[in-house]
Amino acid sequence: MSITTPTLPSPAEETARRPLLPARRLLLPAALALAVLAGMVLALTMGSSQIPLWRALTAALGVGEGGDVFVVRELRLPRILVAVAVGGCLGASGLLLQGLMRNPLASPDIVGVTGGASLATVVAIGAGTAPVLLPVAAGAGALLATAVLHRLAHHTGSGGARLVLVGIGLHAITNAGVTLVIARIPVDRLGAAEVWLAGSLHARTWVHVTAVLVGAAVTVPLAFWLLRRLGALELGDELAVGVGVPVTRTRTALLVASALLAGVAVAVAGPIGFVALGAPHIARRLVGPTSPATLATAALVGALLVLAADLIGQRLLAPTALPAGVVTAALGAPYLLWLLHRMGRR
Amino acid sequence: MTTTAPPPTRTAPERAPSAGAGALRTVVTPVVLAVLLVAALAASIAIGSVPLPLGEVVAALGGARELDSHLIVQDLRLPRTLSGVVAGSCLAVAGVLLQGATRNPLASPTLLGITSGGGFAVVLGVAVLGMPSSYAVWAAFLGGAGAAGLALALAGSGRDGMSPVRLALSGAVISLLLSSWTRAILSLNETHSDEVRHWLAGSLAGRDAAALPPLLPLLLVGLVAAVLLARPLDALSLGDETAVGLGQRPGRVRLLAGAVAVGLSAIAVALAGPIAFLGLIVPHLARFLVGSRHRDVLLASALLGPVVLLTADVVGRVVAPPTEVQAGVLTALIGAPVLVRIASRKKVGL
Amino acid sequence: MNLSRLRPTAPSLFAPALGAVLALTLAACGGSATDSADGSSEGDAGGESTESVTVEHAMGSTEVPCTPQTVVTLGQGQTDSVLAMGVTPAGVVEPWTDDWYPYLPDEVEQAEVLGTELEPDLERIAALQPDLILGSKLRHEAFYSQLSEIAPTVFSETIGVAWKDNVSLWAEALCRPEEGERVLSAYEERAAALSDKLADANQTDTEVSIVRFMPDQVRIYLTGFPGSVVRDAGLGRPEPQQVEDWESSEQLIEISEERIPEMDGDVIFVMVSSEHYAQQGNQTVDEQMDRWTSTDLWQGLDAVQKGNVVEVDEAHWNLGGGILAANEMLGDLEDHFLGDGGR
Repeated sequence: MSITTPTLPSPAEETARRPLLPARRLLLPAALALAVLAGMVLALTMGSSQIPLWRALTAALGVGEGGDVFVVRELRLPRILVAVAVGGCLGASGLLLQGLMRNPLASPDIVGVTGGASLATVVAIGAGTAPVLLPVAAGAGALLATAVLHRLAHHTGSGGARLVLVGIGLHAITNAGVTLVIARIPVDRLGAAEVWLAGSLHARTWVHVTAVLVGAAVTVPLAFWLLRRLGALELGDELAVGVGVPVTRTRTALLVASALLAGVAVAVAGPIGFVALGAPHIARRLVGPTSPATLATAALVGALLVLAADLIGQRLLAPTALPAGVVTAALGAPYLLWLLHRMGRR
Repeated sequence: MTTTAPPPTRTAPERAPSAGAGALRTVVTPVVLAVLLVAALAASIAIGSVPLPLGEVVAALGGARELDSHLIVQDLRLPRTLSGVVAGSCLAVAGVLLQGATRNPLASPTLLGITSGGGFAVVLGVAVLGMPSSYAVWAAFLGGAGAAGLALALAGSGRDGMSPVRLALSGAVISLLLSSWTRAILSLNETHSDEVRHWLAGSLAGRDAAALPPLLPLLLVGLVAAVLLARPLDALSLGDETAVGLGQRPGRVRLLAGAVAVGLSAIAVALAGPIAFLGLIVPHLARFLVGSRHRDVLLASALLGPVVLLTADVVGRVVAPPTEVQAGVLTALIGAPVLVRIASRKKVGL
Repeated sequence: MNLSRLRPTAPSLFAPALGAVLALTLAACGGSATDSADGSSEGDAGGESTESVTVEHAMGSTEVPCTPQTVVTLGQGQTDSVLAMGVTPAGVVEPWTDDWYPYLPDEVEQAEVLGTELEPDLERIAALQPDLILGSKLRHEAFYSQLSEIAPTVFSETIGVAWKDNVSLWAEALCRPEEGERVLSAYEERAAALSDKLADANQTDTEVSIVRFMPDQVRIYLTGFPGSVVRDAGLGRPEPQQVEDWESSEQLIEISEERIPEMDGDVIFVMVSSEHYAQQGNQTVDEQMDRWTSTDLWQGLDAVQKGNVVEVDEAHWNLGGGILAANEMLGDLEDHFLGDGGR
């Protein structure tokens, strides 16, 4: 179509356009890490009651009034840690997937990975599975969906494009599956299913924290390890082969890593949308080409986004809480429009 | 990343079948499709969540109104079936127009976000702004046009122009966004969380017979416009230069085709909610059957769309009793594998 | 449409009616109506001499020090039944409607709202420093451990149809077992009295249909809370709405318009929302109802032909799910079958 529309750069294109001083590449992630820390501390003080900074900090260490200690250590801290870890995993997952698919619009919630998790979880809820086991179902669903995605798109060789289309199809199938299952679920379990599908961080416990941290401890280093190869892949298949990177194997490894990251996140928090889509964009804008700094930035931006979304959701209509997923969906739209607008001015 | 311009697709005439065989195919196929449509109509009237004796169904069609079964046929299954015919035709024809105008085999009301945009606008209007639901078609038109515009802008923003993948992905992003918003609005607005289903997956259940007549003039205009666009779209499929040589103005043709497609989709959304993938799969099936001349494809699609939608609806009525499964869920289950199939074809020009 | 309206619309008319029902409930068991009438949690009505009580419940056994003064209820049924036992909860979860159910006593307004039944605000609960938290495994299992660190927490297995067992459970946890027995036996007596009167009036074979219109679906209730109260009143159900096994049956079925004939009965009780009562508000529900009830299939139903379609407030027929709601439902049934609304 002959619309002369603005250019949305592919990851590799952004790379080429924005040479960056090494100092900024180091400083930005460091600054962001500080921002995440500050956000976490702020979140410790915020809730249905304000707890002054000092009291909140000491309570986090277990010192102080019993009430404060309980609220900070058992209610706020686990929730904050889960939010940060989930956001980090989503941001990293999106960056890998966008690089792998060579498409800045790819994300696990669009290519069926999150959908697989949702389908598995809704089935589990319908079967009356204990809440503790739902993360297992969600994680398994995400991985299963990834396996299907990989299997169906096996004969790629077209720069991940087919992967995208197969993914969109898979997403549609899982979506339809969710609707189908919801129609058959016992009526008194519908509420639980809808709450999960909204993507909520309500009442996360240290069990969730442990689960997500263990998951992140495995997947995040994997992502960094694969990053160099991703950089080669983004240069194109021929060049990648030229520098000795096995294209097909690398693509599979990246897909699995991205799915693992998304699976860990969705397992403990449900489908929190648009973070995996938006965080890598912001990261590339801030630090440019695919590099360890970009990955770190994407993860940190993701962490900030989820943390902020959860805080907004808790405070906006208090005492009624909005799930973090609803907030990120609401913020996703303006972000996307802004992105479009920005591209238009280039 | 692909650096070629949007590649010619199956919309372009691929081969010139020998005149005789081609004529035969373009004449016989519609007849066969019409027979299929009659069969689907019959199934949709005879089969439902309440089993009815065939004799009573026939009597009801003859005008009897003594038994509950007669009322079920006349008041419920007939309007529902008619809605299905209209919605199915609209979406299928819209799909043909969109694929022709963009020369993109993946363009369709669902993948451009038109259906979810329409659904979002209707929910926004009815649930938030208190709009009477008789205005649904206009809200659906605006929402659908807005979503399609956004998806096209997003897709066209790549340096390499609008590849099929970009378009599909942009549409998917817009759709996901809009259905998230639909979900959010409904879950905030309604007291019961399980009321969101209709507007997340389209359905023919409980369609009001009264909703149909006001839409008929629109439908007529849309279909006539589609027929008139057949030749210009044929020219367009040869490439813009050739089209200009043939006296067409590509830009105008695209704009018109897009507007008509959005209008037809809006009718379908107003009648049945966001039915997924129908507008994608039917044109492909139709081209497979009758070749790629738009006139033939449009006719075949208009017949085939209702066949697919009614079949999905009938299956949905009986597949999970006592609940009926929305037709939109089943079209998604049928359509998504077709998308995967199209994706794995070499010609798609990824 | 010739639906008769059973209940007055304005809340102001509701209050006296409600008071009467409450008084009736309490008077029926004689005696200690006074300590419950003020509905205050300060009352030591159930004051036990025991130090604490060990309650067996859905999540195990929990020791509750007696008598809990600050009580948090995490479900509609809990709120209702706790109020019925003369305790005003310190914290409650939002009702499913915008405003409080009209049938609940005014004391409910004194309680702090702690978020939704599905996702209550744990911090607010902790800030109240409750002595007892009442919830259900169905809704709140995921955060039982956190709740039980805040206060002794007692969960029922589920909600709805098991409401009578749950009343006993809440009474035990509140250290007011006799109070629980009192309200339950009052209810049973009232239900039995209604059942006897129906027998006298030769109406025991009356078949009652319970339906509910929602924006995108229409339901027939088979069991669940409304089904159980109708059953207690000795009323029958039409054949399509009878269930073989009360415990394991689906609570409700979602139907398509083709199945309107299954909604027929001697009387059809149509549950409509409080908001609908208050302002004719929820447009989509109205549209849905208008559409269904204007069909010839609906108009041809026996109950419709005889004018036996009764709109009732879903607040106490379905949403409340506690013993006050059950009594209010009995009131509707008495009004219809024995009062002016009946024959």
